[in-house]
Amino acid sequence: MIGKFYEEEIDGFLFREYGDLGRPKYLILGLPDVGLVGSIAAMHIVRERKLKDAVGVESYAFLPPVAVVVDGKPLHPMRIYSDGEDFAVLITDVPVAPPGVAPLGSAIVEYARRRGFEVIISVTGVGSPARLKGGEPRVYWLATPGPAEEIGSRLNAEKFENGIIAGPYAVVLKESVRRRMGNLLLLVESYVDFPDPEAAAAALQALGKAVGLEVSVEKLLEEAEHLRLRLRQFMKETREALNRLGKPLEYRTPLVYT
Amino acid sequence: MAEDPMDILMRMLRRARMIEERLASLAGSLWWEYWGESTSRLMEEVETTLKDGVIEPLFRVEDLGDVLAIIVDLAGAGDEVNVRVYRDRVEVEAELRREAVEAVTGYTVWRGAVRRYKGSITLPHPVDPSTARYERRQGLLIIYVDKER
Repeated sequence: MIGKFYEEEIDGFLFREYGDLGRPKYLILGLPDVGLVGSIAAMHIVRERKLKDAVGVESYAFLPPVAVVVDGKPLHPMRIYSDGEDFAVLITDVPVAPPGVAPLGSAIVEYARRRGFEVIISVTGVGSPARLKGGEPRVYWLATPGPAEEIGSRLNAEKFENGIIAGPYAVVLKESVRRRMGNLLLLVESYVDFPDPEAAAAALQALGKAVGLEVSVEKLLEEAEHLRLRLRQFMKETREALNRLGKPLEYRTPLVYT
Repeated sequence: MAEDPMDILMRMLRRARMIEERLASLAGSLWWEYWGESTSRLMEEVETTLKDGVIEPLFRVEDLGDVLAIIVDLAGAGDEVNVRVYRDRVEVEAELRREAVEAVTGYTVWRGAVRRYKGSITLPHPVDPSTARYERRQGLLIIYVDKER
């Protein structure tokens, strides 16, 4: 049977809706970045809350020409899963080519605006030597004014006051300000070069407090070591991409100081 | 006779589509320019894995002043790890635990292929190998070694 679908092209990315996206309030982004924190957290939400695959995101220019096969079913490498009511989650199986990062960030924000999302929640890692000493990962937050800021203030975490953010989440943040879209950015202390499921668990616990997203992290922590082994290659690819995206800029102070 | 406005519109749409396709192919070649080199390198690693059952661990080197910390992600490795510290590099080798191998070989292409870690890293500063000490935590191997004076 041929199903119905709706396609929309934004900034070179095709959003192909084949499932029920519904009208969720929050779009959680799991783009590959430091420690793959966002990717791991997003994947865990999809698995634990049994979200449904609703939208495929495709670009033959900016994404490698791959099809992901899960349980014998071909999928787009970048997808949005949804529970139809509160939460949608964007995950990607491949890193975005550096020239595609800015168009992707812009396309995600515009798509979220058109679909009536209230807040985009970006989850990422921030490299910290404390993680190598085995310390509990701390969570920082940053938000655009309005509802996103209100959610951030519920976190009981430190606000990210000064610094530089580089990569896809920086584009999402700037484009959200430009298009008056709510964006909450969660930055969790993590390993820089290794996948970090513990940091992803800390992000999920923070999300629970902030937007009532109930997800058990027990399984995630139990499987942490296996996950690191599984995501080793993805981490390598991501590291290559991040180096080309000016990620080292995050480790210096801004010119303006207070 | 004046041309049908619909034909003009269709012609314009076809031209727009052609330009779009050309831009996409240009961007596609940019994609290759950015990823081609690293993809070739990653493919070489995959070939080694398939041939010898070896995967390269992820490394990170932290400069702690007088000491270098070399962190190696050996997730899923057994207790026995072979480490060789030289003045300018570190080599690491370890067998993967059976259950870890099973956890990652759900993917068809890896089935039965992966058996052990093997890799090396060049150090950014010469070190004194006799000062090396080791720590293992949550699948990470951390090697502390004094810099050569």
